[in-house]
Amino acid sequence: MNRRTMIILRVNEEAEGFYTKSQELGELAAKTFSQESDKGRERHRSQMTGLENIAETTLKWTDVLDYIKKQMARPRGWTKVYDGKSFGESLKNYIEVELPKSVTRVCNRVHIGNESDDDQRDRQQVYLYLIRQFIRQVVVQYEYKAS
Amino acid sequence: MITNEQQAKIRLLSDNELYPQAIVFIRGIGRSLPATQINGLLNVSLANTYDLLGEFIERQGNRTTWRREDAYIREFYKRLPNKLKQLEVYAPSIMQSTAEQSSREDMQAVKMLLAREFIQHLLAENGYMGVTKAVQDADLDNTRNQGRPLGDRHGDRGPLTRQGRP
Repeated sequence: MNRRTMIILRVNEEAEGFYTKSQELGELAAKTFSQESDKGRERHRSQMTGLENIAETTLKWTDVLDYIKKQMARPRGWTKVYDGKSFGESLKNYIEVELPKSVTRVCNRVHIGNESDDDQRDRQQVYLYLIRQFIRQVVVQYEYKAS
Repeated sequence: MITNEQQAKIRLLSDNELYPQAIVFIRGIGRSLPATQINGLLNVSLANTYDLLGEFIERQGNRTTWRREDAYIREFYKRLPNKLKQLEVYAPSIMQSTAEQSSREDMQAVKMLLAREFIQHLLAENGYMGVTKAVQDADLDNTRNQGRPLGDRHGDRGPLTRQGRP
């Protein structure tokens, strides 16, 4: 099995563990964006679509974090607190603090080092794949809760 | 002409080096800049050459019309050229991947791409910093106002979160 296939397999396995957190964040997103709504649900789904689009299309994981920070700086609910948590901060925190642990686990299993440019690029790719998987799950949970 | 290989190197550098450095840099200023300033800077970096970006920053740093309460903005523009100079050291290693001798134009183009990445990270962290500052202020107000009648409290100070930095 080549390295690329191994990475995808291991990322998919690691993403199985995202369920509880994505459920929590999907629920938080549903509360956040339905509370904000004054023009119906479609308009506020755009917040999730925007997030998903950036994650699916970018080649840098920092673009996702920059996007979240910029959304938090706008008055669109990303910083509204429900039960002590805001969607923006919780998502940012999970991507910055928890997902790197998943990156390390995947890289160890696929024997990706930390030195060469190729290793660094694979590591960057693993991080991006994990972010995409996580955000996809959050969006699915959001859809379920908001419906 | 910037190759795909060079662009990949810049992306890696942006994630691993420029992002954390931008956070440290903007937090070192101590306050978040007005959105107009940081958006203006990004626009200049998107629409001009590296030399013109340098001139713009220098001009802003040397402006004598800053109000006293805006001294931190001037300080930001004073510190930025040194930071961009530091980022320039990455340019030769990015250019190494081309077989042919790199021209001055190519080198300037790489420096500009690095500066843009850095400024984009600055802009995002600046906005985030503004929100967390608003939250700290609001939390402080809430602590001060505990036990006071509602009428004495300050008005809405913007969006609230309770989370701090990770």
